[in-house]
Amino acid sequence: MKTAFLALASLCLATTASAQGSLSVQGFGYPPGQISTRAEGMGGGPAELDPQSALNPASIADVGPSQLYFQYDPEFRTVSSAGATSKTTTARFPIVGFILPLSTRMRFGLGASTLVDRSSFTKSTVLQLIDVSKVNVTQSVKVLGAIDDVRAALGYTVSPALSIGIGAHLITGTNQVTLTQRFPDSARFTNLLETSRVSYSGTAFSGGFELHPSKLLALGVSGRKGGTIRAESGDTTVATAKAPDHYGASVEYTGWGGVGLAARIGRDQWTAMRPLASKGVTAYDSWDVGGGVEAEGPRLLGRASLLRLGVRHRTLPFSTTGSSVSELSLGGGLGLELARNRARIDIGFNRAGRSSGDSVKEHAYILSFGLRVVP
Amino acid sequence: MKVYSRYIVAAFAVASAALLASCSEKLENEAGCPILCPDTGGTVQNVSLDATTIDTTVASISGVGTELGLLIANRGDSLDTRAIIRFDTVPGRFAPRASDTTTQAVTFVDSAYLAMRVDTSQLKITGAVTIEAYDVDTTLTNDSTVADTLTAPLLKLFRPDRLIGSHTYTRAQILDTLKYSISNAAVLAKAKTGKRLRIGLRAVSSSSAQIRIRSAEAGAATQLFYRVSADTAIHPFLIAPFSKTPVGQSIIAAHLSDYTIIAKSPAPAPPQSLNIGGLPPTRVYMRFDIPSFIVDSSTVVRAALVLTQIPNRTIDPADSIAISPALVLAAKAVTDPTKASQILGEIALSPLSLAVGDSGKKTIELAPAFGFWRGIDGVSTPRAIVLRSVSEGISPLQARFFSLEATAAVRPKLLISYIRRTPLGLP
Repeated sequence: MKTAFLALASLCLATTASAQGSLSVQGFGYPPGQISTRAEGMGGGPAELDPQSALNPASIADVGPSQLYFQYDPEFRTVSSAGATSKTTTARFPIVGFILPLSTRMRFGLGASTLVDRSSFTKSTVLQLIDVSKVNVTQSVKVLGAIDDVRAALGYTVSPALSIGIGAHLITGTNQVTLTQRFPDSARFTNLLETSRVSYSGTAFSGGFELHPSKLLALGVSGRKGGTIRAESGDTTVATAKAPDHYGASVEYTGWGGVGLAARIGRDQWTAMRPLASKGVTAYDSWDVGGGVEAEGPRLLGRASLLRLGVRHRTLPFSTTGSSVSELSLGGGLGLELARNRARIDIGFNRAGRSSGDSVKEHAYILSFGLRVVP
Repeated sequence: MKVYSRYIVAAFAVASAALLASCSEKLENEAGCPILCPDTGGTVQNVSLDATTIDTTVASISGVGTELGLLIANRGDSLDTRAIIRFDTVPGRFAPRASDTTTQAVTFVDSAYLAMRVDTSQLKITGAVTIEAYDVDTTLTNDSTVADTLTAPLLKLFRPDRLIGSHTYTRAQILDTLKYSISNAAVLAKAKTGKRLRIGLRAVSSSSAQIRIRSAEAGAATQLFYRVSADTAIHPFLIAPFSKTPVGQSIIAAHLSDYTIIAKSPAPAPPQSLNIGGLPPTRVYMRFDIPSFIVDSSTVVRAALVLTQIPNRTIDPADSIAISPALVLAAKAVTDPTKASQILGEIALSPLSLAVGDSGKKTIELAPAFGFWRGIDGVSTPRAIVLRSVSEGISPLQARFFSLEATAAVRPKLLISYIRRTPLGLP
């Protein structure tokens, strides 16, 4: 099973990321949230307590042996407007990382997660006046790239009830934009093709703690402070801004029979990135609220499984229409331990509805596949 | 619980199928436009410029004999052109059979003829036409300093005592390959004496006649066939055009293996007009001064050179001429437009086809040239084009246009539609 999954995942690694012209991919793009498949299945509830999520550095402190984690999140999106509908398929690899034990109390984690994914491809027809003729021009804009968060983290177990952690972040990424304008008569007109590549680099620092007042209750709190982030085209700095700050807290309770309950609230200050964008882009500081349950499920392939359900609501960070976009996700998931608990597969499924003040509607089915391996 | 397990296994299978399906991305999205698709490309700006700083008619000096055809024409008072084909090596000895180790002198010539490849699409014959062949070998000297391509001495050799062939044809008798018999005695005399056989062909017609035959440069040179023995088992000689002069200049000599001379040209074009094509062939050189923000900081989606045509009714006014624009690559050190118009770069500029007797505004599309000009320094390499006939040197058709010196309404104009480049990359 493990081999089969790895083979499937490696096939998908050959592709690149995703779809503008969508509510979710405006501005710098869509934020997957830096949360693991397990947390996604629970509405993000346990994300600040989850070592596979890239939020709270303290969460890696109580991981046992070393482990690798890889996640793949394909999104099947439908965008509707004025009778027209487009369906897109987007492949994302939002989290990859590993955790190493440095001592019995200290763990080191290194990983990369997608902060915002801007990949998109839009096609539209515009009417241009050339000399005295009106000409329909097919314009397509393809954007490939994302801004990622590479984090090196240290987690330390102060006591069975308290873990702390710190993280150093490198914010990095590129956006490659290709603009094409195709004219109908190639004998008279020359098609326009322009490309541009913008790279981003910046820093951030994070810290957090995990508090376990009892065996049934856990509290995770983290914060990330953004440093300067630069947008560069070639060797020229185009703009500078601050990487977005993040604050979040999760609480998890496992004392209700075999069921675990988790809830989370997060705050991302995306407006810090506003100076990087053109004047048509509005940034929003967003709240991210969600919660869910996890319960023991039926035995599958002779192994115990975990079933999850969750709901999540958040504001997306960017808009080009002046109306903020909100997203409501409902979903669930499944977790299965394999290879004598040396590997775990998590599968998540979410239906996300997105809306703003204008006539464009969008919904998406987001699958999530997470694989954790203890080498 | 088993029922639940089955559902979960099924869900697992569906998820795996979705995983495979998502490997192939589909990003294209039109539904969100135009609300969520801002006009990234910008608006097209249109300007009409008197951008031409120099325009002039220059001679095509690509070289005598470089044409892809030979024009044999007799168009009454307007045009008289003749073809010269050189066979400077006529073998004087031969080996009857391949196995022979000795050769014998040529003492017999029979069935001598020229095999000409005729461009039948360009035939213009009304009534009958007589094609006459003359021995036009000057045999003056092999001295390379003495030009043997001068027209006047050659024309004097088209005289009765030099006539070596004459045949009359109707339009229907002239096919793709024309077997034209010439004097066996003339060929034998050259073979015996080792002299050059240079043949001049001219058309004689009571009405009007024009025949274009393909040249060596077109890969279909006229060839000379003859037999040196009555024994048909001995293969006939097949001689290709070859010129020994000018000595030591093999490339020029190769071009001169066949070429056209002009005995009479059409009436000259009015002064100050721009003339393309004709005989002798001419080109038009045009240099532009285009604002650098258009060339360097914009994308030109259309650039139309608008010329006003002057009707030319001297020859075949209803016939079309194809005008091909080409980029001038000559640096500013080349100040002579005639020389500059020989240094050309070929890019995908569409030719313009028009009837030479027509008039009015004609448009030549130049947008692809801007992509080239953007990459070079406009000061060191002037932005210039040459307009030339696709049938340069092999067609008498000539298109004429008003130049800069004409009134404002008919001067050349450059209509440019461009989009200012907007910074891409940041959202």
